[in-house]
Amino acid sequence: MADININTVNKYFGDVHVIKDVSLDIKSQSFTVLVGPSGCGKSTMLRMIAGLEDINSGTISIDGQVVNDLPPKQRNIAMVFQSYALYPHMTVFDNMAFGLKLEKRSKDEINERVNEAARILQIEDYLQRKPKQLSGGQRQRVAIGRAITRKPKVFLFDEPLSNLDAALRVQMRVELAKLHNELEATMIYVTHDQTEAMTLADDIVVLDTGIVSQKGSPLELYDKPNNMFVGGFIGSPKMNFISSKILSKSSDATEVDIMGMSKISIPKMSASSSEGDSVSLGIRPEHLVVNGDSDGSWESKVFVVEKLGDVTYLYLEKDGEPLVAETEGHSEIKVGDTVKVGFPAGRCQLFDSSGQAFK
Amino acid sequence: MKSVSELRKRTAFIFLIPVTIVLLSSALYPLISTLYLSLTDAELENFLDPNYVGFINYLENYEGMWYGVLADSLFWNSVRNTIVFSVFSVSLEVILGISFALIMLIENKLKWFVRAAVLIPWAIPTIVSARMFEWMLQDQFGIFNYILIGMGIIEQGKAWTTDPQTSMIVIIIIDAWKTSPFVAILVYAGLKALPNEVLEAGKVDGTNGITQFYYIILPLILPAIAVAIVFRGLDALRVFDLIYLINAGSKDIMSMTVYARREMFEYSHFGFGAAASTMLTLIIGVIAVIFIQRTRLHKLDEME
Repeated sequence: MADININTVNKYFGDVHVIKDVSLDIKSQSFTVLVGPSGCGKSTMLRMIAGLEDINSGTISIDGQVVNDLPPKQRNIAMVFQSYALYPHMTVFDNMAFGLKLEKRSKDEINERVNEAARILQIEDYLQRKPKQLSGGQRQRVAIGRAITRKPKVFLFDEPLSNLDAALRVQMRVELAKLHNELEATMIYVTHDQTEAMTLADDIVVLDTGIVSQKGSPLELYDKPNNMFVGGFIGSPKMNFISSKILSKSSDATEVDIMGMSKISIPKMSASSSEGDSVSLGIRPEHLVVNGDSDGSWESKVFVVEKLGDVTYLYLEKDGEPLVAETEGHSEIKVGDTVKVGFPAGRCQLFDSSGQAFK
Repeated sequence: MKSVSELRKRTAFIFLIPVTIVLLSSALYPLISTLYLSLTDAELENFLDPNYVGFINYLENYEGMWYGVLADSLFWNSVRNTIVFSVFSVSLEVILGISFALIMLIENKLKWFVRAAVLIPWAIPTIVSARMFEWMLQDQFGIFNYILIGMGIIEQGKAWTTDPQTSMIVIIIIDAWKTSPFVAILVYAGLKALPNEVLEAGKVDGTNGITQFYYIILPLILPAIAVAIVFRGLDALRVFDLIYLINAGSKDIMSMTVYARREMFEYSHFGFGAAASTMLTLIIGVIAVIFIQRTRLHKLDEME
């Protein structure tokens, strides 16, 4: 049981304000992913929870206890670093046993816990090797093993998979998900990879220049982004944004135009909006209907076709507004063709000029 | 058509020629000529045309008495002095050097001053530091005695540099003062190269200052320390200037080099002095090989 409460935390590096009044509640045994572009403060946030960075103001509590001034070892945490940060002069066994040795545990207990972790991570055969003799994936397992042996309440992961190749990353991602179920520990995971965020998280926290842009379950963020930043950050390829104008407002919908080609009535509202306002219409490539009927539509030439096998991405452009549409894998559409894409009203998002979403 | 690797080998060979020539002429030639000289009866009068005498400069039994370098108790005394000096000065320098390096790591506004100050003793010529310490330790006017007398620890000034009981300690301290910065710089470079995340992983694992140093930092900078020990050790075994300047004639601190120089240039026993020099080279060589083998320094690339 270890809830983590972060209360109006601020962090400065010199004059640079990197974390701005961040408050977060992380539930015990949840898997929370901090995600955002580089420089958004996600790693700093994690390091403050770990106790590797001081906090300038605000409080961080783990399990109800304020830990602002506690060193890492008294916070009951373990951390997995991006570079693995294994002790190069120690064997795999000693790497994993080091924390326990410092705690002065008995030899038997150390053996038992290290072997248990090695079994879970399938690294029993490498226990007597040095980190240098291991592959990247094996080192990553050792780094995770080192965290497991200490049975911490909270696991912190700092971009742990970003040094692995694509195939291994997928494999380790699945194993981390399994591990979370087995260990029933609170896990906080930092990544810039939104696929990792979507697949692993119970809750995703999107950070943007030191501010929590949105917190919610993966699908909440996918379906109902609070703002353009989250809309654009979650999902791949990115959500399309088209500049548009409000034509009229009704009690439960806002009517906007699509490039002067058609009108669409979107069931979203914003009290502060009025007719004639510039807005951005957001729609994901996978929700566009290619060469079919829908609530609104636009026509354009195809500039690039990307065939991925399972799907095909069409890159369109009209009057300087780019649009990416997804269609079936074996599409006959070629570069230079003109296609009509349909906008299902229920899938469209609207964002005002400051980027805030219509609800 | 030559393969790329053959061409590379040839290029490497061409690049190695100049340094090989310089090494052969500056190191190998004197070594061989010293070796040759040690097998002759060369003195000042017959220096250009000495007679080959075999190994009698090293050891000879003449009418039941042993003669030669290996039978000279003063030589063995100088060997002992050299080794005592080397072991204690290098140990002291390593301990002080690591301490200085750790102090240099501390980030504050004075760090540039600390880093510069550490280097000053290293930059001062030995003749200056030797004279400086001589004056400070002088029995009548030296500040060291003045302070000790003032504190009531001793009643009258002591000639620290000439007293047989203290002269060795004095030169060890001067040498440590002078060359600890060298060790400090090497260790500092090693410390700077430590991966920060490994130290942080240690903190998360629960290290404090002492356990972090002992279990993580020290093993990781061991290669840098070993390099420092080899350099300093070889320097110390060849020590000459400091001892010569402090007290060239004292048998209490006479090193192998001072002994060989005295035989050669004061007594003009070139053959005998050359034999002493050869022994010196042999002893240093053996110690160096043993040390490098023991520390696996030649396999540094494979460590980590």
